[in-house]
Amino acid sequence: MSILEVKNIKYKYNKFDESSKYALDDISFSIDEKDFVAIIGESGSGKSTLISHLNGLYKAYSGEILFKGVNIYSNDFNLTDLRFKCGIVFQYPEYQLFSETVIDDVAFGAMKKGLSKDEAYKKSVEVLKLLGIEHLKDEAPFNLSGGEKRKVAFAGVFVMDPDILIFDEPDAGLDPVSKDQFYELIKSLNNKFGTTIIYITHNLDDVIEYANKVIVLNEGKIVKTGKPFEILTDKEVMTKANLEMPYAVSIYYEVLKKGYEIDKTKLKFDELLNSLINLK
Amino acid sequence: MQNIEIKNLIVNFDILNSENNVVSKKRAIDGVNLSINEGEFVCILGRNGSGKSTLAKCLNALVLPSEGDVIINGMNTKDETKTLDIRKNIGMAFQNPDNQIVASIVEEDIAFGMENLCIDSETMDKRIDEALDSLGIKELRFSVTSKLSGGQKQKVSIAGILAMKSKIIVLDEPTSMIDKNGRKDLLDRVKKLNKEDNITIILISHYIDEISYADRVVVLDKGKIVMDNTPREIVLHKSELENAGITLPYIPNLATRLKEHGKNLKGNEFTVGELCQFLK
Ligand SMILES: Nc1ncnc2c1ncn2[C@@H]1O[C@H](COP(=O)(O)OP(=O)(O)OP(=O)(O)O)[C@@H](O)[C@H]1O
Ligand SMILES: Nc1ncnc2c1ncn2[C@@H]1O[C@H](COP(=O)(O)OP(=O)(O)O)[C@@H](O)[C@H]1O
Ligand SMILES: [Mg+2]
Ligand SMILES: [Mg+2]
Repeated sequence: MSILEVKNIKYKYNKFDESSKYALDDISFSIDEKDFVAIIGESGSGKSTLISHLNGLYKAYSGEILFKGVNIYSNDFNLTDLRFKCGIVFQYPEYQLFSETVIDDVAFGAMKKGLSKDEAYKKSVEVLKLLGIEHLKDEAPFNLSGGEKRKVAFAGVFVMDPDILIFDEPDAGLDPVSKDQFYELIKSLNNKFGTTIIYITHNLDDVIEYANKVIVLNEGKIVKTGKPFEILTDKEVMTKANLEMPYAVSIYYEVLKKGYEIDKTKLKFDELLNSLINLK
Repeated sequence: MQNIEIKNLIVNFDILNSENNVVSKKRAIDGVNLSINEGEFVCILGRNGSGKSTLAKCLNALVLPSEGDVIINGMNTKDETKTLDIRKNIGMAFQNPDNQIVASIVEEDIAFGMENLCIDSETMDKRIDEALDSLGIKELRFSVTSKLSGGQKQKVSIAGILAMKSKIIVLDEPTSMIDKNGRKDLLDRVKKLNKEDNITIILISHYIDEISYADRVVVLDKGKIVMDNTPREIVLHKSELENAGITLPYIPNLATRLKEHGKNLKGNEFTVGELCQFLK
C-alpha cells in the first residue's frame, strides 16, 4: 500500500516573479510502506526542496500530496501529527539543534510527542547509545564536531519513532565506519518495524547497496524512477541528470567491454565481488 | 623551504556548564608533530571527533595551542602581530559553507577574500570569472547567496578560496554535499593548482576515494597521528585503518578482496581501469 503519493506538485521560491523557474516542476511519484527510497540528482536539482514538501513544511503551488490516502492540504488534515509521523533530518543539522545539552535536545522531541520526562530521557539515552554518542550527552551541541552534530540530529528524530524517516544527505560529514553503521541502523528499522526510508545522497554505490527504489531529479523534474540497477546502469538517464556512474556500474561496463558476461541485477558489493571471482 | 611545522601540539577545550563555569576539559589534539612541505598535497582522514577540523583551525590561528607550536612559513601562530600575515598565506574552506559566506551576492562574496589582499578590480574580475568557471557555476555569479542549495554554497565558498590564490589551501570536507561529477571537477582544479603553481593543499575528507589525489595521507585518531603514508601504501593496511574508523575506498577494497581470492592484483589499485587489468 502506498504511504505517500505525490501528484503533480509544482513549487517556486519566488511566487511573484513570473520569469523565475520552478524549483519543482510537475513532480509525481508514489512510495509504498517499507520502501527504502533514494533521491538523487546534481546540486540544485530540487532534492531538498522536494523533501521539505513531504511533511508539509513547504506548501506546493499546485498539485497534491496524499499521506496514507489523505490529502495533506485538506482543511481537516492534522499537519502537526504528520510532523511526528514523518521525521526529517535536514541538510544542515546544526540548525535543528538548540538546547544547552545534547540529552535535552534529544529528549525535547520525545516529550513533545507525549512521553513523560522520565520516559523521554530514558529513551533518549538508549538512542544516543545506538548511535555511539552516549559520551556526548552532557555536552553543548554547539561545540560538537560536524559529524557529531549530525548524529545528535539523527537521535532527535529516531527518538520519536516516526513511520517515515527522511534524511537530507545523511552521509555528508559521517566518517566511513559511522556511515556504514548508520545505513545498517536504518536498514534494521526498515526490516524490523517496516519504517519507510526516504533519503538524499550523492553516494551512488551506497544506493545500490541499500535502496529498493530511486528517484532521479534534474532541474526540478523527475528524470526517471525505478530500481537502482535499472536507473544507475541507464546511460541516457545518467547523462540527462548530469550524474557520474557509481564505481560498481563503471566496473560492470568495463567487464562487458572486455567481452565477459555479467549479471546487471547483481551489483551490490558482495554480489559484484562474486561475479568477478567467477567470470568466465 | 618548510611551509608548515607543527611541534608537540596539544589543544584542550573547556567544557562549560550553563553558568559558564569550566566543568571539565576535553583534549582535541594530543601531541601532534607534523611538517608539511611547500607543494605537498596532504589528505587528512579520521573518524568524527578525531580532531581534524581543530587541527585545521590551528593552522590559521583560529585555535591557539594549549601547548606546543604551529609555525607557518616561519611565523608562529601565537605571535599576534603575525595573525593577519598568516591568514593571507592560508585560504581555508570550512565544513559548513554558511559559516563562510559573508556577502549577499555570489560575486561580492568571492571578491571579499581578495579585497583583504589588496588586489585591483580588473584582476579581481578575471579571477572571479576563472574561479566560477572552473567549478562549472558561471551562471551563479549574480545569484543571491542565501538562496543557493547546499552544494552550490560549497562551490561558491571554494571559488572564493581559489580566487585568493593563497600559498596554502585548507579544505575541510569541501565536497560533502556535491555530486561525484562536481567533486571530480573541483578536485581536478585543486590538483592543477597544486601541480602548476606549487600550492600546498590540505584536504580533509570522509570521501576516502579522494585520497587518490594526494601525495600523502595522514590519519588522526583521538587527537594523535596514527598513520602517515602514501595513498598506494596506506590502503594496504586495512585493519590498521579500520581501527582508526576508516574503511577502504571502493576500488582498493574490491581489489583487496579479489586478491584474497587469488586474482592477480596488488590491492592498491585506484581506478576501474587498473582494477580490471586482471581480466585478460
Ligand atoms: N569549541 C569547542 N569546544 C569544546 N569542544 C570542542 C570544540 N571544538 C571541537 N570540540 C571537540 O573536539 C573534538 C574534535 O573536534 P573536531 O571538530 O576537530 O573533529 P573532526 O575530526 O573535525 O570531526 P568531524 O569528522 O565530525 O568533522 C570533538 O570531540 C569535539 O566535540
Ligand atoms: N531559499 C531559497 N530561495 C530561493 N531559491 C532557492 C532557495 N533554496 C533553494 N533554491 C533554489 O532552488 C533550486 C533547488 O534547490 P535545492 O532543492 O536546495 O537543491 P538540491 O537539494 O537538489 O541541491 C536551486 O536552483 C536553488 O538555487
Ligand atoms: Mg540539498
Ligand atoms: Mg570536522
